[in-house]
Amino acid sequence: MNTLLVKRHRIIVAALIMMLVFALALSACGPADEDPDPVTPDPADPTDEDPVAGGTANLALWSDPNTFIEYFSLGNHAIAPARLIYSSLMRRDVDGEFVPDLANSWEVSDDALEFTFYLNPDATFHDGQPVTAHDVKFTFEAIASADWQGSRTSDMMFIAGAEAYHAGDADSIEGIQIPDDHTLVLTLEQVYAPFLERIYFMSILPEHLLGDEDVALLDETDFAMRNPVGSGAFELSEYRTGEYIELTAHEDFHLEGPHLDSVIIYILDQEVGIAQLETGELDGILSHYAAGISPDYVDRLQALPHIEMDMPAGGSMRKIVVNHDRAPMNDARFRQALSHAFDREGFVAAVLRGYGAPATAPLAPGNPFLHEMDYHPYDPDRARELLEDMDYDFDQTLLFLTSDSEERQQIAELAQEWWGEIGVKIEIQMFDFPTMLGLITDGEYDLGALGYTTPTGEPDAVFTSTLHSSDASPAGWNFSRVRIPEIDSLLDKARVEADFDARRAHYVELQQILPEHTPEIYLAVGKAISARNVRLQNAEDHLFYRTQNPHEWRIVE
Amino acid sequence: MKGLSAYAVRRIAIIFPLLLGVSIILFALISLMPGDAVDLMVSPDLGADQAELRRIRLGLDQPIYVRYIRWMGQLLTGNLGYSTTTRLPVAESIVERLGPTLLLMGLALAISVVGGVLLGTVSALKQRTVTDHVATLGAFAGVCIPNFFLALCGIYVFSVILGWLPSSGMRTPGIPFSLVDRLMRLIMPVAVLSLESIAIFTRYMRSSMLEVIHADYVRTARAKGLAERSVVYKHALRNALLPIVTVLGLRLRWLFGGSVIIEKVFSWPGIGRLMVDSVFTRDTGVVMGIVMISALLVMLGNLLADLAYAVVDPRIRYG
Repeated sequence: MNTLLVKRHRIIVAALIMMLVFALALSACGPADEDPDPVTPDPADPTDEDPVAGGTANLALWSDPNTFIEYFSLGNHAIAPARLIYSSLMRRDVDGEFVPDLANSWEVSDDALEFTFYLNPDATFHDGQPVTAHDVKFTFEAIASADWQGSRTSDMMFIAGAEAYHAGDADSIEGIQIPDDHTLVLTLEQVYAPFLERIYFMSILPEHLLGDEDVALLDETDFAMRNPVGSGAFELSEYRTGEYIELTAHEDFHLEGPHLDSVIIYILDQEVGIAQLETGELDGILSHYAAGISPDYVDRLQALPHIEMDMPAGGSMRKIVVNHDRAPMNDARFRQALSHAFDREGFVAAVLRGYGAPATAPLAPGNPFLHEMDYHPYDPDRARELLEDMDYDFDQTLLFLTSDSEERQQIAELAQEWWGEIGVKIEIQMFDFPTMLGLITDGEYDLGALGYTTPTGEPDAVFTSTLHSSDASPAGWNFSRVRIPEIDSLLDKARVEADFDARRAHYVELQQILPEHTPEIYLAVGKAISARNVRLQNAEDHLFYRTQNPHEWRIVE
Repeated sequence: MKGLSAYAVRRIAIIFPLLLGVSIILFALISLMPGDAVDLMVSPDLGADQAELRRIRLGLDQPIYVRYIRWMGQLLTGNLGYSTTTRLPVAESIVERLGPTLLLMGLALAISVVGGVLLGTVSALKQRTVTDHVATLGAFAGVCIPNFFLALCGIYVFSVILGWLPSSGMRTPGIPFSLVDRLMRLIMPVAVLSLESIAIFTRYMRSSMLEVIHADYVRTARAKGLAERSVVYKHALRNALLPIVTVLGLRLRWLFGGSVIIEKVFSWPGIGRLMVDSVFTRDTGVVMGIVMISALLVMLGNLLADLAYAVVDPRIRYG
């Protein structure tokens, strides 16, 4: 008996020790902690005349960037940090004018086919290597390559010889010439008026670090995933997934600045981010475009003296996509009826809290190509008339898809209510966004609620991708599967017209025929809402200004 | 203890077919969801041809069984695959995130167990007194109040109003390792997580203790003239702890799963958050990796709990 007890005791002790060790090992298993190299940013150059220099800006992103090369970005979250790390050929100022970044100056030939850029010889990458025209050529050729896994390839195809390069028939792009290390000449295949606007902001990658890599695997390099090297105002010093991205000032930045010592981007939940804005822990939000701040928080934040709100007009457009491949959606009268029966003013007031305006086209207010006009006022009687005209079958129920975002659900419910009043019955089905997008891409829907970032400048990209028949889903973003010849021809003409006024005339004509065709139902353009602590200066979000000038940001206490 | 070792071996052997079953069901479910990772990458800048190329490169164009076999093959060579969104190796992402979650959940669990046992014992010994009622009420409150509500309240009170505690994050950027910094950031999330579990352990401990105290052998011990303290600690408590071991075993999956809500609210770089984000971006590789590892750890943990239970309670015999 005694021996049995002793034996059992030993086993108990052994088991308990095992469990204890296990538990200790687990709970003490904190994150692997190599002490980060304390990066001491150089103090501001004493010969600078800035009265205020130094300091750290604390910004927030709502989600981790999935990569540090913006061309591989999913969603917008990778783009914002990239703007701080990389330089591009030009930037834009408050008025929308192009200002130098890597390119000190540039010329466009009379026939609008040749673009010459004179690069700043002082520009260097974060590792000290100079930035040359070869880096730009390398970047553009990588993007144009058939092995490229990222975005923007279609923009490169406007350059002469790019198609051949893409097809593998040429070793390099003919239309990119480098007369000397700091001069770049781009020649286009044919006139493409929006060209400069499409390429001015593209991040330039270092050839000396990526030139030997397989283009197809660029997104898997350590460079893209963890350690980018750009020539922008700030360099990456530490990245902890799910926590923060720390950027420190690039001492040899080629433009004046940066004035800040560092920028820390925290990955936060929106609720917590708003709370931190209130306490002053956070200086601003880096998530931009549609992923800014929800209108529900505006009143709360505006009331605070240390917060300044930015509500530039270029925000996200809310629209309802209509599947033209199915009846009765393929009848223009039906689409017009739905448009007349949707109370846009009511929507802006109730859902957007007034922060927005009804939309007649997928362009931001203030866009030079926007043609101001009223169409389809809220008129349920007219809507009913149209339905009678086309002998609408009032017994049918149509499928309306929406995602789990609260706003889209509200759109669906409002549509159901307002369209119900004219006798159109819809069934709402809610899915998470990727599922909904999958169904819409496959055409398994009648109507759906979507949004789109509205351009503040060149309209070609948004019009073509959403309305041109060649981009009809599943090929492109024309989810409504619009195939209207008049629209196609106007878009094709506008794209190759170099003269601004003539081009604008085409887009105006396009907008004027939109009411009759109603390819999609545009609801409203919401304002992009962002908030800033007043201590962060020169960081206003303007129409053209967003994150264009991190080197000019200052902290003023 | 031949029966016990044989039992342990049988349990370990069963883990493999169980994991296989889990992997098949999970893979099927994820693949059946409409929309894949490439659908999310669609943008005006990414043409249809490139989307298709990307799909081919990520292997998403293959039929489901081919993809599963490929994944299984990789797994058998010790490779958990790559994330479709970040292109990082899945194993690396998991290891990175598992630590913070275990730290958070481990501390919360430890505090809940210790606290629950203490509160439950006190409650039982002082049954029907004010102390008991207060402890019981507190326990119910902990269970009823949703943890995200508590979390947001906590942030609002302690960070926004009082400014005593940081509102998010596991560490302050740019500074070398600081224990104080880490502890300050642990206080709120651990407190919120413990509060809900403490209730469970308190209730179990209380009822178990009550049952034990009225048992014959305790009465015998008292009759033998043993000091009350000795009766409680040496005899009653040890036996009352047995159900706690069972509950602990059940809570183990909590340890590895993390609390998504708490991790999101407090910006804690844990595995729960990684899991949810990956589901929303249809990142099959990461989801499969996380679930498989969690499943394995849970099965092992449960086995350990069962074995410990058998060792601790001589009445248990595994046949």
